[in-house]
Amino acid sequence: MANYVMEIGEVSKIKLHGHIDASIAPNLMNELKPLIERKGEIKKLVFYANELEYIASAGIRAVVFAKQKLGANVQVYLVGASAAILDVFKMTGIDKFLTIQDSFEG
Amino acid sequence: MLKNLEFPAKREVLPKMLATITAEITKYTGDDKWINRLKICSEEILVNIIDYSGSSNVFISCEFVNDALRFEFVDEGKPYNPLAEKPDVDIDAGIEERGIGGLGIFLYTTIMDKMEYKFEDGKNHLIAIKNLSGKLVD
Repeated sequence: MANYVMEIGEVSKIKLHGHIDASIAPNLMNELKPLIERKGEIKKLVFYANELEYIASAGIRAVVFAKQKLGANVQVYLVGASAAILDVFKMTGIDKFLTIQDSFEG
Repeated sequence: MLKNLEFPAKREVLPKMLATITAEITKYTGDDKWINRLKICSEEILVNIIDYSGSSNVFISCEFVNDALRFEFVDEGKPYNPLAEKPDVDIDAGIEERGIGGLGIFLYTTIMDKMEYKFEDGKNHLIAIKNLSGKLVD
């Protein structure tokens, strides 16, 4: 059963949670692969980060990977991230490619 | 203070190493941003050692001296200075041009005030210093 990917469709939803360090990030990456194979169906990709406590570069790379593979027409959201999590995305400049919101409706 | 605490250099031990380091950092700062940043730096350094050094063990020290946290990571792998390689990370590049390598070293060299590498007694020593009072470290 998927641990992160909640829904694949026009609006695909991923729930990031806990600690995504280098020992965990490969699991996230593996879950993203089947989602990317269905990229024709996807218009929006939402990463929910309300329960994400920690993310390092290995986890950031998984988000970059998804954004790159889905292409420019798919809008990628980062929703509900704490200040400490947003700090990492900003330091790496990845925040510029994401739509950052407190919540996501729809 | 952590003094030469030894861990097996394995990815599955990484959460335990990070929990130990985080517990130490929180003795000196309650600022979530800095706790998180210093934890990330530690992780990026440790992952490099685990994945590439060939060392069986890693030794972690952390002490608070002159308003600064001083971390030292020691391994018994092949001599390797990560600071000699300038990370090829352009944070202004478009998403398609963003490579996936170099992000870890970019993060820790950006976050830390001072870093030093030495090969001594047959071991790699990577020292990372962050001043928590806002003053720059000489």
